[in-house]
Amino acid sequence: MKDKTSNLIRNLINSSNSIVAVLIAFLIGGFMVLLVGESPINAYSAILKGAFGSPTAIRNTVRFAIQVMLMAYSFSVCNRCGYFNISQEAQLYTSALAMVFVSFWTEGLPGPLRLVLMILAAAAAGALTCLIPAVAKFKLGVNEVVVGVMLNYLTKFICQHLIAFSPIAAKRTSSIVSIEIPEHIPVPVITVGAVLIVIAYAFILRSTIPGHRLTVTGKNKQFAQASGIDATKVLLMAAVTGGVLSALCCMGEILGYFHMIYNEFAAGMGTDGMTAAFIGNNTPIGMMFGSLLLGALKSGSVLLSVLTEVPTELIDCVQGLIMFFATIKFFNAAQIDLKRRRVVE
Amino acid sequence: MEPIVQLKEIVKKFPGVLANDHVSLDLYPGECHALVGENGAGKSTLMKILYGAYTADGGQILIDGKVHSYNVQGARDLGIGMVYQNFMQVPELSILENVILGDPPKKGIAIDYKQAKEKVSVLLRRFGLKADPDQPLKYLSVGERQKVEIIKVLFFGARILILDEPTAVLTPQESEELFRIIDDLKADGDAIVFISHKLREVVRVGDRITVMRNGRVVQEGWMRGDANETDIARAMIGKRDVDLIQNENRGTDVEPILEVRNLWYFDELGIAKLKDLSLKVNKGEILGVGGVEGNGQTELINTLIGLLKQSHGEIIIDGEDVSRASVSKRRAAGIGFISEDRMTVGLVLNGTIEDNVISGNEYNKAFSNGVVLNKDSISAYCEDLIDRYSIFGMTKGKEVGQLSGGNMQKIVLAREIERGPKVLIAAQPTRGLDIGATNFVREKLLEEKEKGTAVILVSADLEELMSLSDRMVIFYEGQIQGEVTDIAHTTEEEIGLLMGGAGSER
Repeated sequence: MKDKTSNLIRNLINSSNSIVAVLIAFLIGGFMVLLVGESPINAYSAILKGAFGSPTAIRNTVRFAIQVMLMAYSFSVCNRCGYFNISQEAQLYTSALAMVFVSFWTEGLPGPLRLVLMILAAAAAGALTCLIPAVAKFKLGVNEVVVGVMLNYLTKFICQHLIAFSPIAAKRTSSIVSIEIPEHIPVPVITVGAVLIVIAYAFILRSTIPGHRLTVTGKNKQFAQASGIDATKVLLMAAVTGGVLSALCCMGEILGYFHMIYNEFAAGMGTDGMTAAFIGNNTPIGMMFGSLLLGALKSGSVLLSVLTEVPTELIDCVQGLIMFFATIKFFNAAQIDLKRRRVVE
Repeated sequence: MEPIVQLKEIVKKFPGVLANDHVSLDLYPGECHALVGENGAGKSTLMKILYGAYTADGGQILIDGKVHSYNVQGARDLGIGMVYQNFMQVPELSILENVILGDPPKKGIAIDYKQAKEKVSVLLRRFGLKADPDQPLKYLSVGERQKVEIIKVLFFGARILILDEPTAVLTPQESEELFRIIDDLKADGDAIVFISHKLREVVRVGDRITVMRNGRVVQEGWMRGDANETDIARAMIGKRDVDLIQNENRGTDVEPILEVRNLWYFDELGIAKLKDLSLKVNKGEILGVGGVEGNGQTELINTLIGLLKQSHGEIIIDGEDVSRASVSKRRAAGIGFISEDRMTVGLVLNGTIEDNVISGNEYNKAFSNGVVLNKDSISAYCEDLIDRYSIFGMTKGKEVGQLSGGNMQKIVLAREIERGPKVLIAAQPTRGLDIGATNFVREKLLEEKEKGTAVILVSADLEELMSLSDRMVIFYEGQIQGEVTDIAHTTEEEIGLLMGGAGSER
């Protein structure tokens, strides 16, 4: 019983870290609003209103929250086993391209079949893209951050090129976009799908063999290997899962909202996911809250520029500050445990 | 004569625990004061206070009769030096550089290598080390490296030396040499605190012996000859039975369960760590593997369990060739493994007991249906293990890293033994454990022997090997230097010779 409480305390300590980080970020953000000569209260209430003030506002918030959450899960599942999934934007670009190309090439096939093929292609593209830095890291010892960041640039420019000069480039338009795809997924389906993904993610992580192996390998690779768990396989599986989750996010965006590829549509989405994962401390529920917060900031930013003179860059600043402070452990549960352990020794 | 160090009524509290409860200890020049006690008795805390790493919550430290309060730097200035069990050394640097590291003698703003080299050369000669001061440290043996560690402490002028379990890594011969060095230092008027678990050494080297238990001094300053090993052991653990469990039923049938044939292993630098090694372990036999650490024991263990791939050779378990099998296949074939490093390889410290017990065994029908874990059945299983292996302090949801070393090891044992292994590889299974936990481990190993498991016991503790093994092999530079079948009629000295690469089979 006593340890149940201490477990609870540990969770509270961990979540209070994020809460403090968010509060500090908003506080500093408030000072910045003062500097442009506006009232922080007005600014924040405008954001609040923009995020939750009307049915449309709430729909937008949910949309962005789902987008951020899938990216957060994608980041987190890799992060759990020590793989820093920073090539998320690359995964978004490749899975978007996969979908549009499949749609383009399968013209004439029945609609549902096309949709299934597009989804499979997107998942495969996301997974493969996520595997590139992972294989480089686990098989060759290359730093995944360098490879990942380069991959982001590479795919961004490839995507840019293809939607400008290729069969999937939109004709007779002045902006760089791809052709429009006929396939749609209704927004309510995406919302329900996202909820199912959350439940499945939490269940797989906590109650299944792959989830257990991922957790154990992430905590202690040497132990896992000596126990007969093929750590490299587990780590590569995590990378595949991360890539598929990114692809799912991309499907929601392309099939649910855009129906085409905009130039640099993925910009900043990886960072959003990473921030939410930090806020949520990699727990499925925590990341939901983190995503909701970032989703609300995103959808609230519209009204901020309408109602006040505050530039919408405030949102980016606050988000950056949250990211910065969320990586700081104000209260470190592990250290508190360690202190206790030393005492026992 | 005035004591050089007086610790008076030292109190050190950690939240919830009184680590030092009004502990007093004094130390005279030219004396070796042995400090003994089980793990958690408070010896290390007391020594860290003396060395300035901890600040006491109460009491006084008198050095040369004056009250002092200081940090580690202050302790060095006062002439207090500590030789840690795990050397604080940089193997790539030379002996000289290691010795002057942290506090080099200066000439202006430059390091005065010339003066340092002269001083270090004198010290090296004094300790009978023929090595050149410019030689990289990594080419020295463990015993020699420890001498360098002592030289380092003397170099900055220490006259109070704290030796924390200095013989843990040494052969009997090297230990004997260390004791001669201690005598030599005493003759110079240096004062030494000697911490050890090995009671025989304590009796040999201690001019006075102080025993701690539960943060208190339970026996103050026995003079040399006042107490024998049994007296000390009794004081250390209180009323409990002090005898360590022995193997009473030596000898086995000849029915090999594990066979290793012509095993070679070359490390990444191309150095042969195992050289054409062959051995057999019979059903119901404990094969003791002795030798100074680093002579191929770790490589043997890792090639057996599959963490390393042998360069050449075969490994056969109960007739099944597993030479090229993965770790999990080998475990399925019947290998159980108690790692020497329970903090990293043996356990996942920030996991629960459930995480630790089921890892690698998740497909067991009691734990899952092949995909989904059966949490109720896993918890019930763990409850049962906690009960049967007397794992104290383990409650639901608690991370195993919060347990004491003995209870951690019990989880390792429970996990590995309950799988019913045919071959159990136990590496340093009692290292760092107190007597109670040590006996528990020994009992379990002997139970396994009785059940017919082939046990390989790799240990640096000669007493343990000689008490438990049915047969022993001594490793030297990746080969079996000698086999000991008649353990009862073999002395530690004879085995020590084998460990050093000399001697012949018995």
